[in-house]
Amino acid sequence: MTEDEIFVKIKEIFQDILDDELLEIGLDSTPKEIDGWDSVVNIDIVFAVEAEFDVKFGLEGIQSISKVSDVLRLVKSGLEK
Amino acid sequence: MHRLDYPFDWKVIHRKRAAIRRQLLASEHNFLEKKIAVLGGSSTEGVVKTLELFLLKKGIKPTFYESEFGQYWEEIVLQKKALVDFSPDLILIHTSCENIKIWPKPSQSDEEVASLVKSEQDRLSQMWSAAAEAFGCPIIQNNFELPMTRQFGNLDSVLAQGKTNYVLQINKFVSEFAKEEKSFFVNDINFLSSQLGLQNWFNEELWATARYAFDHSVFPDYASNVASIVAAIFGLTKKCLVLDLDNVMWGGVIGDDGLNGVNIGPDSLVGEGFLSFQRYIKALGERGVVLTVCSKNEDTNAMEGLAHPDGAVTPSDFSVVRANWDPKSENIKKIAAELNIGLDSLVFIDDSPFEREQVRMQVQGPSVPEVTKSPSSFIMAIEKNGYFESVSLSVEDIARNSIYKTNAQRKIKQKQFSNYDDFLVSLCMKAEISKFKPIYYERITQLINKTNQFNLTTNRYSVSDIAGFAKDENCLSIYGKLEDKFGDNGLVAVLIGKQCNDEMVIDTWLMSCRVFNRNLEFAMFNEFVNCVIKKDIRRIRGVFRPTKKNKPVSSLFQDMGFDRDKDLEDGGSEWVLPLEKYKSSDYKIEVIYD
Repeated sequence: MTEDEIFVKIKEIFQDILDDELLEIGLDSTPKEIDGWDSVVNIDIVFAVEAEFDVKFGLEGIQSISKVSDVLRLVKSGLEK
Repeated sequence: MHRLDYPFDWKVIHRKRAAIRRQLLASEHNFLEKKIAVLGGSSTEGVVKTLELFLLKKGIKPTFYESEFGQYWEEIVLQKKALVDFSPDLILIHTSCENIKIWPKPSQSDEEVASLVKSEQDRLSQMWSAAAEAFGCPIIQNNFELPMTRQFGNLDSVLAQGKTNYVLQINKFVSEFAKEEKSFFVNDINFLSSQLGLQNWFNEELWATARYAFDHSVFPDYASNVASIVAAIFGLTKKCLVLDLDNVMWGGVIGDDGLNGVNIGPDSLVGEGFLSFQRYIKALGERGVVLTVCSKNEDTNAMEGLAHPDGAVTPSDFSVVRANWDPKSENIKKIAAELNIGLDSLVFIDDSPFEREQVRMQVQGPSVPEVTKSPSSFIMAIEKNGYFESVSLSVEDIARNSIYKTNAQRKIKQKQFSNYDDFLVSLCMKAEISKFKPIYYERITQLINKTNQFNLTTNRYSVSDIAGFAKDENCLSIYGKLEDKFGDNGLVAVLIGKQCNDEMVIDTWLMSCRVFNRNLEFAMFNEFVNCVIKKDIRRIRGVFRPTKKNKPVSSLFQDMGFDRDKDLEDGGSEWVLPLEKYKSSDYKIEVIYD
């Protein structure tokens, strides 16, 4: 899976969970910039992403998320394992 | 809404929660609105979001209150103002074994551990009595899942000091309390976690990061289980199972394979699965679920199959058997009409995807779960969708199946009389009408919360409300029981009046659909009038509030001789009857007023 393909799927998960099909996110988007991405929603997103790609981020991984690119990085390293 | 049917696809439900919610809310369902307080010993946010979906699916539109994190006990016992102001219709105490305060230590004596168990139990019962006193609403309490680890290995369930044993003792206490207390219900997560497997239940990461007591994959199972209890509390449980025959009740097609060719019974691998299913539905029938058949078959073949000597059921277990070649949707409508129950109290089991879809498309109301070809999937669909959840084992429930069967006999009898009055006389009906008595509080509550058709106001009440009416001097609350030569229908009618100035206002008037067209409403009203006169009141005021289902009584007040007084904003109407205008009618029922 290419990085772009992963990103598109992550974006769809953000759109589903935040219930906004027009939501645009970028790799540098942070929770502050994306409306509704609070700590509770973050966990919802993490578990949806883990399930989608069948990967595990681990506690340290989850803690390290501060922008969208972190999610992408965690998926990539999960898929490489 | 298949997506919320068993087998639950948690990934889809988790991701598409918001979209599914919108779809459910957009349906034209007449939702029952309820205020539900979820008091958590762990995080509640995601749990509540999933629970909302399953409640909507069951026809309940919740407004939620969520406690501060972990504050379930404090908010109840200290009666937190926000919770009191919310004034819940129902409380869910969402705890798990993470909320057990003190665990036994290996060094403690059996007596010391016993006192720990006692203090844990006291802490719970203190909370329950505080909740009952402050809120007077039904309470659903999670019991406790077993701990993930066993410090004593297999001895953990034997030794007093073992955590497993400790949890089992607390659970037993929760169950015993529920058995005694009518408005207290157990959400059995001990069962649910064993069914799903403790390893799948607890997710250490999710606990560490978000303080959820169980894994996301469990949310739908948990929510479905709670929603089933809530639906049962508010009387929205299904009543009737509609079963296909070929490849549902036995393996094979009886019309082609013949009685000896179908697979049923312990002698074949395939037949054993169908036998298990027959045993399962037979047991459902014994606890009050009405069993019916809807099958594309010749009637004689259907009856022969149901009487198969190796099966567990007999034809007499079924209240209605419709075996013909008409579309199933039509037969299902006829089954509901014959039993006089709503289409939404039916559950239809058919192995054919075509028939399931035909029914889904053509009839609004029945639940049609997705099943595979395997009879064990029928059982799981019935179990996990919680259609027939009940909150108590009442005598009425057990008798219900036979009541519907005798009703079918009455219908046959009715055909023999050209004059309906002659038919009524031939039934030799006897009614017992009396003021509310404590032994009937539970049945009265059940009837008040379940009855939709013959119900003038559709006010719903709890057991404690009923006890309150019975004791209130200003209330006039009577019930009616009806029996005839075919059998006892049980307690089937309720009429509650509240005195307001110089008028008696009918707050609630309802009657079970079992006894429609038997004139019991006239007998009830006549006794009601007699009591009103004794109280020296000269006017009765009736209120009609229309719902989707109570059209059968839209002209009741008019039929009883009331005058229309005014129209209400909600489409309802108020009616008055000056008692000098009242004329008793000949209702063909011998009344014993107690």
